[in-house]
Amino acid sequence: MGVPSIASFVLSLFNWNGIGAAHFIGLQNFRDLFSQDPVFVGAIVHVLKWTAVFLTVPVALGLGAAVLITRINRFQIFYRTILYVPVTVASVVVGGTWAWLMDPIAGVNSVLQAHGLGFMALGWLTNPNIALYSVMFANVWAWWGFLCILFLTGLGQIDQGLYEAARVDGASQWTMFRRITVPLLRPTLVFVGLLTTLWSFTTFDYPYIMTQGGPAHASDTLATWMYFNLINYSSAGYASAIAVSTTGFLLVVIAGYVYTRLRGWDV
Amino acid sequence: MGRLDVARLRRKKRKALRHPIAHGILLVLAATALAPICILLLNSLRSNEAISGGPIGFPSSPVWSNYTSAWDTAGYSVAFRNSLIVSASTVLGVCTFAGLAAYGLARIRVRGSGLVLVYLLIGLTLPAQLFLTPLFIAWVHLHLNNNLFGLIFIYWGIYMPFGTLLLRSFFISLSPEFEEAARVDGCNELQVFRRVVVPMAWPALVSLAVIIAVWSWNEFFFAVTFLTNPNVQTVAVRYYRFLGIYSSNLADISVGGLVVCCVPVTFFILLQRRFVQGLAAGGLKG
Repeated sequence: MGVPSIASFVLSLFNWNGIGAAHFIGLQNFRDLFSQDPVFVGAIVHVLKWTAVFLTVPVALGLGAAVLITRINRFQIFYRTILYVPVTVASVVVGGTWAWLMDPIAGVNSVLQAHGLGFMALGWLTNPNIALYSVMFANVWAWWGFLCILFLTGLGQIDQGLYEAARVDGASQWTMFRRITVPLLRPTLVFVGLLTTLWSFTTFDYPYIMTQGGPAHASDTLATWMYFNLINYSSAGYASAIAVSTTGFLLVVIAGYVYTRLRGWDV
Repeated sequence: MGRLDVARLRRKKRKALRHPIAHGILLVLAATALAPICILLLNSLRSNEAISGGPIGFPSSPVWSNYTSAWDTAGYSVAFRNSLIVSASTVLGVCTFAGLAAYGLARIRVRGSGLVLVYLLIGLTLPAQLFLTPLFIAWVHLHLNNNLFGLIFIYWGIYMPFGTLLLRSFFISLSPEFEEAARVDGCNELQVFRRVVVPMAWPALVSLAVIIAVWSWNEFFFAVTFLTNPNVQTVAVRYYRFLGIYSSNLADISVGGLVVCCVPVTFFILLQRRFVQGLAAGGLKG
């Protein structure tokens, strides 16, 4: 793994189609990426939106469901099993099924129209303004159950006596959640945040499966754009430059995390 | 009625009220989680005409022939065999190599083992895209694309860091006394590993095996890049290609979706405790 990674750095400095002779062009690939490639810049915006959504929606869903599951006293295992099933379904099937359900004519739109809700029948994957969010929806559907299980594991380690004590002191449910649950879950939350950021920057499966980055690059991510450059346009050097840039962004995130830890903030 | 009784009654009442709401919300979430899979199940038994007439509906008369046609003509039988080979080999390889590496890292004090750990952590966080381009070019030149072993080799590489870190954290928690006893009795290192360590580490190994089986079965990014020939495609790639080519054959697509997810979902439901424990241990400590 180390060798191809370093090879990627070297390749990113070349103009190469993968077969013929490679020309050394220095940092030209990177200059083109940041100044002359609107798709690349758009992809950066898309992964930032992706990160923002994935840091909030699935975390809220997972944490909410996990807290509810700890409250009830029956069917706990039933719910945690069912909620985790989508996580084990392959991304192709999730993406393929949702893409079909979001089809402009066939899918849910035909059901909506049949029930007089035609105004809600949007071009889920064909409208450039909402395509990215439709793709995110499918991915959130398949992802949040995993967070729910992680939070359940974390919640199980919290001492129940703390809640008893707080209840005796007259604390409300919300206060207990804010003052006991969230602080004690902080290691899990930080881990989830870091994981989410890393995976959002490299997300590939869902945009590739559902929209091929379209319409008109409206849902391209860094990974899909790299992939199309490598496979469809045979520009190995340019694709490597995208991959190296992605890694650069991730290193910034990790460095920020390490820096805050070194500063003594126990995050 | 004393004040205590009133308080108890009130609490009881609140409890009885709170639960239906919690159950209601959870039921809605569970229904949302299962709905697309149920739609797949229902559509796998409907004819193409019926599905294109309405995406959601009950099969009026079950069309079982969808299953045979998807299995034979759509090529899922070959893809299923390929997926089995890839997953089984990946699991065997990762468990063996990661087991040996993790045991060494956990027990043998050598200089540089800290560096190996850092290297594994970096391997865990580096995006797969970073090594796709050089790997793709190398694999084309070595004729390892469109080759199941070529893909298995990649999977060994990408799942090794996770496996090693997961097993290492487990080996550290084991007491070394049993191993020392075996050594006193004249076992060599490999015998100690096979006769003593592996049986004790069995729960962790099963966890790892289940997780890697599901991941390699579902893996898409590398599979779709390296397997273009239908004879070597895994079920995930086969399903993806099928989506594009036969987009009107909705019944076969539904069956294909079920073929792809039947193995991981069954695995998970049967072995869910191991699965979740492994993910929590490997992920949270890694």
